Amino acid sequence: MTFSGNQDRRGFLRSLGGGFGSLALAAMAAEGAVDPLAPKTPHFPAKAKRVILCWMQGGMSQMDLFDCKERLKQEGGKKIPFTVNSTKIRSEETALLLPPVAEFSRVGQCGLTMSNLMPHLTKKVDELCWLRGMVTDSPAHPGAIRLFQTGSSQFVRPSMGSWITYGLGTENRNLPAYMVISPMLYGDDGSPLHYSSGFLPAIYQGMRLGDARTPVKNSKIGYLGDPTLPADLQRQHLDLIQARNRMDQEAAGADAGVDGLIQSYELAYRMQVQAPEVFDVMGESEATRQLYGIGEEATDNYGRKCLMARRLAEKGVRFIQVTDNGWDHHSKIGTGLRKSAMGIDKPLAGLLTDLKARGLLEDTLVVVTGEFGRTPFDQSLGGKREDAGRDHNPNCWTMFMAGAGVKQGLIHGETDEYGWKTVNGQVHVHDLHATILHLLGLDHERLTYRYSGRDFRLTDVYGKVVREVLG
Amino acid sequence: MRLFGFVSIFAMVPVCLAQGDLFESKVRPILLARCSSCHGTSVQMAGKQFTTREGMHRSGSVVAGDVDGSSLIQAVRYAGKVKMPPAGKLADSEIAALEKWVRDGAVWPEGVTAPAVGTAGHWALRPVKKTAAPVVRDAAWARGEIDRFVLAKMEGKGIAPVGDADPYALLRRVTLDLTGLLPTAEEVAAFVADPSLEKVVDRLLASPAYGERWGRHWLDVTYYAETTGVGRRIPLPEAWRYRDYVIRAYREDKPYDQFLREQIAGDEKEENLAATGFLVLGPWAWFSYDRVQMRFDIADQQVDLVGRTVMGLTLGCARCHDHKFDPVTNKDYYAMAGIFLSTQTTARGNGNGGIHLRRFPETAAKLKEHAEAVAAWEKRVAEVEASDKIFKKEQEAVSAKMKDLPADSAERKALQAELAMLKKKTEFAGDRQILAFTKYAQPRWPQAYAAAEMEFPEDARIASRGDAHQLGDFVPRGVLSGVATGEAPPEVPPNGSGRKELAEWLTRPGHPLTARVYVNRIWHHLFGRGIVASTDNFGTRGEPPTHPELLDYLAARLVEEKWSTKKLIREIVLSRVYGLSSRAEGRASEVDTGNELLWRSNRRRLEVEAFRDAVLQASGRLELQGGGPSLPLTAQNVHTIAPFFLEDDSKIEGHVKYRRTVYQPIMRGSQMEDVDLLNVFDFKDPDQVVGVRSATTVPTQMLYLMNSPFLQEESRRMAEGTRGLGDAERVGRLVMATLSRPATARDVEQAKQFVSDFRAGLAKKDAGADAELGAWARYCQALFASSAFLYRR
Repeated sequence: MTFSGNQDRRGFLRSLGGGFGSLALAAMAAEGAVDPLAPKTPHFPAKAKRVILCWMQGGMSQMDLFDCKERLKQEGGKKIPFTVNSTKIRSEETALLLPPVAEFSRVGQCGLTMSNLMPHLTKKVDELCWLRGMVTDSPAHPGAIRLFQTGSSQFVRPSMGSWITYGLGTENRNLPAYMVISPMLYGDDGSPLHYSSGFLPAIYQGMRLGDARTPVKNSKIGYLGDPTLPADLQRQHLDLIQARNRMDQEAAGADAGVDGLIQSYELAYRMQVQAPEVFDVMGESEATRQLYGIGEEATDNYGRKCLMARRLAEKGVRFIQVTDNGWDHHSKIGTGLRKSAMGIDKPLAGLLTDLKARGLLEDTLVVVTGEFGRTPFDQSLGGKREDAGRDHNPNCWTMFMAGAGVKQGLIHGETDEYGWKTVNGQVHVHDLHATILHLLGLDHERLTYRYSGRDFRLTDVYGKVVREVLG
Repeated sequence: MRLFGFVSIFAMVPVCLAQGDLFESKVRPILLARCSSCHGTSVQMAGKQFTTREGMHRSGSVVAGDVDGSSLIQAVRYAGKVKMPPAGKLADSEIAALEKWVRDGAVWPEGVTAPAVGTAGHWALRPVKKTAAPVVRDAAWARGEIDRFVLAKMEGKGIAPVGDADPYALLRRVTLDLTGLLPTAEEVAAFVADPSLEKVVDRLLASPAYGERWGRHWLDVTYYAETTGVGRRIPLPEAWRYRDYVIRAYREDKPYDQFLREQIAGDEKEENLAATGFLVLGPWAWFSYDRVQMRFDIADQQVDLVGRTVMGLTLGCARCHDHKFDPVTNKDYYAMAGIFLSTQTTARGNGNGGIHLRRFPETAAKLKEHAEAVAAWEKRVAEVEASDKIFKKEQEAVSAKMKDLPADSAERKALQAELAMLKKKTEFAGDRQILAFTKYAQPRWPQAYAAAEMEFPEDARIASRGDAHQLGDFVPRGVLSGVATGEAPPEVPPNGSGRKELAEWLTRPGHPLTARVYVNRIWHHLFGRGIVASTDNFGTRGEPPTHPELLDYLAARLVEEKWSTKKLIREIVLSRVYGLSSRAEGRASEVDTGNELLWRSNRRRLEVEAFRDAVLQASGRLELQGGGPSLPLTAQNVHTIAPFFLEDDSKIEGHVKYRRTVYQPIMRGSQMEDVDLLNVFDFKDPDQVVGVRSATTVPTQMLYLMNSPFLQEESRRMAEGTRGLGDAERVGRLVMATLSRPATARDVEQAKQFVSDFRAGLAKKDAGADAELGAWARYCQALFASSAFLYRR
């Protein structure tokens, strides 16, 4: 049994109820679309069409990687010369300034002084847009991660990827609009809420491939297809399921959850066709795989994730998160950070090279960051000074962007002499959100969704576009 | 008279006691609960802050004595452009209180100029106060007090509840909610003939399935799993005893206070040994080079477990500093940590000795029984070995005969065939398999993972920033100083850990949190949303209650009814509001989109357990008996001969596989492949206290519903079970088995059409296949895979 297109459309419209926000409805009316994932015109023209978020969960140490501090080098081992606000940041009585654990040198034309831990990325500095004055609200992972991923450290809210997908729809209806590769799922630091759609319709939720505990080469999206059934019969079967879903909507009334179910079925069906091929990075040439460090022990895992991201970007996926965890270097930062940096260096540089070569950097925004920075002073969790690491620092960190719409070789923002606080060009996470939306052509104050009597935004009541970085 | 502002009143008017009372009892709680998240200390929208005296003054939103001239009053009245709070209008009584406060001079007593959020003013810490249910306009609608509490809120907002659910939907709802299973066709027919919900509810509460359903709800707020270790799958073959204890407790309706006392300190009595599995089964490594830190970390998670599960407080924060938002000090934390540091969780001695095990007591009868079991097992081993020897000898004899024969002789070929037969016989005799597993199946003396008192209980010392190696002052073992119960805090004796005292304190009728948190959990499971939506957080960072008086009424009822869970559930499901239709319509659907006021029933996705159990029930495969060990045999006897890790490709034993989901093995990390759907459909992470399961809708789930062998097999089985029936009767049976209602003419028409089309397609593809059965199997699968089955409404 099949339904004609008209019946389909009526069924969808009927099922919409009051569940969708004004933007989606306006776009639908304008384009005659019935489907919430249809591509939507942004508020204003923009270069960036999609985002790849390289998410370094745990917090990268800015003063060991990107933000060289001479005084820290000179005064390493001395007492902390500034006051640490104990309600916000923890510090041990015995804490001392910890000098950078790597050597720095001036690289490229833009004037950045970078450590020697990321030799491949070093060659790219002039193509990147550096933000050195990032700040966030929470000094603890759960709050800081939630704030970054959803715009709220306290409440369950839609994730950034969901907002963007809601705002722009997707260009490829055969793949998820929003992919999250290897997120952390467990513990205080990981949760499916980080890529959930919150109160937005469920169709805007991120689709997960694997998890942080599993190497991505062993991760797959399960049950992708039924080899026993020809495609036309599979469609016929799905038509019956969908017809029954609509009958249920008629009998029991519209329901946002069932809307999401109906849409998810269509997406799942189309994914069966395209997804297996997209995630198969081994189909790429040997040279490309080498570019990403695939096959080398240190870089294989992140390399595969980055290459998947490029393949997804190429297919028009709107928001792709490529997770790396293990940046929380509380102890033994000398060895730990080296390892973490090595794991992403070649893959990231490879991704940027590859995107550029294919012209994808023209309309793809790449964002590389964690949830906060680290302290200039040490933390000796194991009790031994030589095993010291650095604690969380929400007062400043360095992140960078590349690609569509951002200035190249710009260094925005400045920290104090120790890398403890932002002194210039401060960018709060809310501001970054506003900026990312802006780069995609979305006004963060107009991208709203009415829920329970209030218009919500990714940036809540905050956020200011960082004009300085716009190319 | 219009005064200059707000602060002058403070200075001029001596604080009148009654006014101070109004402020303390009504006004401040409203400001804290309804305004402070946007106009508080951390966030000040529109630059206004209403939680301090200065903030209120600076805001200019209140003009003392001038009700109509105060913008705050205008906003809460929803009279002008600004309507506050945006999430929903205050109750009339709350607005009246604010008006009276302003009219009387807006007195803000000096002593509370900067009320720390989360001190005694926080609603959840005030004593439970049972108030009479309010008078409602539509008195005929309400069946009892619960209904009046709920209806009053709706009437306050000018909305009305939708109509009642139809009997089919209601029976399906209440059967799923109370037992996690579907009503049978007979039960449906009986209910339609005699729509007495009371009878049904009593039957369901008395059924064993009730204990399985509600026991699993409780396990969600524990760390229960049958493996442990951080990152390692080390089997815990006795963990099932805690699961069975919990299920039994619900079946027997063990009073909640007793239930808690047993789980925290029940190891005093041998019959409750398994109850303290609550404390000792957890996501901790029990192998660490740093034993001191490990012990400390385990105690930390136990403090947090009791905090979240029983009191809805996040105590873990206080490990390093006084809790920023809730009334828990650093000292309180260590007072409780001392209790658990004085409690044995891991085995003594050897660093990787595992979770502390205690043997059940020896009685003459048990000893005899055990000896018999061991003897029977030994006899069995001997038999298996003997028969295996015979098989082997037979095979050797044949091989020997074959040895010298030419390779292509007919005789050799015959012998070869005989040998193959013999080998097959050995494999299929079953004994070979038993031989392989005899070791694992060795009878063990019953034992349970259980807590015990340390020989020398000790107070904890404040650990600097939670580091067990940087110790400061000793803190006497005790309970939270900021939570008042109306009685003196318990004294922990020097020779005990203090668990008994902690349990006694938690279960005092005057404890403001224990009953509230528990009734809210029950409400959540029945309505899909707690009166306090953040079921595990009753602190100031949690959500405020939507129906505070109802919450207190239910908490008081629980204690009145001697902490009986069944009585409380019964009262709730017999209310009118529980039986509402789930259809969203009318003005209410615009005013209260999120259904906070419960004007309709929430349509909810079945939890993965209910989904899986219902599929197996409909296909006729569900085995209703359960209990006892669930891990694969190869994970049994882990302390003697079984491998130390559970292999990744382990299979669930055949006799366990079709039992209810609650009886399946539960791993940390991801679940076993045989129950892979647990990973796909939001099963609870065993490492967390999860009062509210997430219900995601992602294409991975749809792929599972379309393509998983599990669903395809059960669908085929259901199709086979109805083979030979006429179309209408067949559809009737299938729809009843899955959706608990009779089939409509449209159902029948649709099925006929689909089967005829699909059968033709299948036949074209493979002429030899049973296309008729294949098509009906796909029809059944579509029933399972569509929203009417996946959702409870």
